[in-house]
Amino acid sequence: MRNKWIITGALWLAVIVLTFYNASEIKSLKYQSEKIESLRMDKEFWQQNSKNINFIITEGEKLFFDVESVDLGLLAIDDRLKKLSSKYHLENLKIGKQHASESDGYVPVDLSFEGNYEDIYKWFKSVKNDLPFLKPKNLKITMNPVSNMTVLNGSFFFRYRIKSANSE
Amino acid sequence: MPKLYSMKNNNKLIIIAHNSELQFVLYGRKDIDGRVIGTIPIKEEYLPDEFSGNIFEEAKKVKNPLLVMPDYVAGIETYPFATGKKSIVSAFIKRKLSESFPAVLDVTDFYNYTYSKSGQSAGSIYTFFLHDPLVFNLYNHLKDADICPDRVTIPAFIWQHKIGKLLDNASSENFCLIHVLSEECYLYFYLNGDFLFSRSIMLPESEEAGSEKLEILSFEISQSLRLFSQKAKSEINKFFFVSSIHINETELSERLGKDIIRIESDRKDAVEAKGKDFMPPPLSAFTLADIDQKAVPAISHRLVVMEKAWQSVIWAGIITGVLLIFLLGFEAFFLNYLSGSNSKSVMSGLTNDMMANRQVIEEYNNTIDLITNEMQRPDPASILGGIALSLPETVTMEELTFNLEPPFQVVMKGQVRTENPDGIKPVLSAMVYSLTRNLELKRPAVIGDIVFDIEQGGGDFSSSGYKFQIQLDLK
Repeated sequence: MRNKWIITGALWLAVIVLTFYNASEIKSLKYQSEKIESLRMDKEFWQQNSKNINFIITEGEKLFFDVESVDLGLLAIDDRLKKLSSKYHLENLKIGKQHASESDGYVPVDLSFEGNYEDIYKWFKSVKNDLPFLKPKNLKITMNPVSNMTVLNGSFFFRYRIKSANSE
Repeated sequence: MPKLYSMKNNNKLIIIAHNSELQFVLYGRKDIDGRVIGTIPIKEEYLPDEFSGNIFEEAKKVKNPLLVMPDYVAGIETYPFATGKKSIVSAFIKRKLSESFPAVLDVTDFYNYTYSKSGQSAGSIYTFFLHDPLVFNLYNHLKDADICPDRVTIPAFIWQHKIGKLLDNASSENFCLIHVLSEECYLYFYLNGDFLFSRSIMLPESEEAGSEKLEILSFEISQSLRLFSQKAKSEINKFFFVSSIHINETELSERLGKDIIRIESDRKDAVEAKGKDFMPPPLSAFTLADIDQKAVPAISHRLVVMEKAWQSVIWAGIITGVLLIFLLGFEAFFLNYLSGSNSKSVMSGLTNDMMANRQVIEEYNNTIDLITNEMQRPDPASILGGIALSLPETVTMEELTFNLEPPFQVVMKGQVRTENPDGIKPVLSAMVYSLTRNLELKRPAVIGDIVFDIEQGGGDFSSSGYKFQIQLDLK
């Protein structure tokens, strides 16, 4: 009698072990199947949209300024802004870096200059095309109707990506 | 060897206790008349290994033997009881037996019962049990010798079963069985088909003393009938008669004043053919198959009863377990095959193909999000251009504040020059209309959005004009 109980217990233990084994196998198969499906869809999407994808990625890259360090990046931006300012006859250009964490991939920048309304309009158009990584957050534009002089004080930020010289 | 093998599988063992001897009778399909394989004297005490050493090897090979004891080792009680539920009945019987036999501890391990209830009457438990220490002693010795009896029965129970088969409605009959042998007679009394008591009577030995035998028989039967009436508060309504000797049952019937039904012994032919019969007198009318019938009332040790009750559960568990193992094993094999063959090779191929592309797609998704966010951000050049286009000649802008983080807003401050206040409305109406047209606003600008700064010369016509302010929500 005791032997029969032992046999019954052993059989049911084996049943439980097999059940758990099968459940884990099914889970693993399901995971594999989902992964295959995801990879298939990725492949299909890639085949159909590879040209568009490359175009979008190239456009997206324009929104980042590739720099070796944040300060070097700021210097480069300062240089390019000065050139743009002189092109549009803007005076008293001042650039200041705000204290902020650099880990987010963007740096807040304060900017101010003087000029006439039309030139400021043109300056913004050029910044949009030539410095797409530099974006305004808040602007205050004050106009003197007598002198026709416009003063701009603004908070900007620029997105950057650190790229070492070796990686290029 | 083949002989032993067949013994192990087909033979049955009946152990009969009679006249201070245990008789081991082996029988089977090939040997239906059976044979005595040995006897052991019944003693109260045995030397160590004396009992087990005398047990025959043939006997040890047979499982679940039947032990037949004399009638006197069994006790009978009937208790009125409302329910037939096993657990309640068992507890009740144990309590009753331990009260009735406080000195016999084993009595609560050896009992059996039937529960009967007819119509509206209260139910009753017919309990039969072993109470003689002799039987417990023997049982333990047999158990130690590895031939633990499966069931214990008595001749009266075998007769009960046998006569029950002859009667259509045995459970409602009170009957008496008269079993006459050459030197003795056994009287068995049954109430409602259940054994009540038995008696053995010694008869004169000589063949010539037929009338004397009848005299003794009729006297003893009459006495026993009175005893039955006292015990059962009822009368016997059927008499059965079995005899291995020639006796005039008609005369006996006349003496008793009762009808007697004669039953022929099944073993008559076998006994005559073999000459001397090995079967003890109380069992001489039975074949071995009669004695070993599973349906004969018998008493088993409670552990044996419990084992039998669980037997079907265990077998069901084993069979279900084996079936499940088979099914689950097949499933495991199939799953293993699936995970080992197709999916792995397909996945490794796709993974290799897509590993590089996947990173690009992730980058693409991030870029799409970034570009979408940037497209939603208002363009300051467009706003400046739109405002310049919307300003009437009499309106001068003094200050513009842009909030280019959500919520996108423009606040315009300026002056409107007009000769009288009535001229303000058409000018500013034209301005808000143009602003709505030239800028992408959440809702059209209305003249009500304009706030005039009265304190700073808004109402002073002598100054340069009316100062105003308007806040515009951009899309």
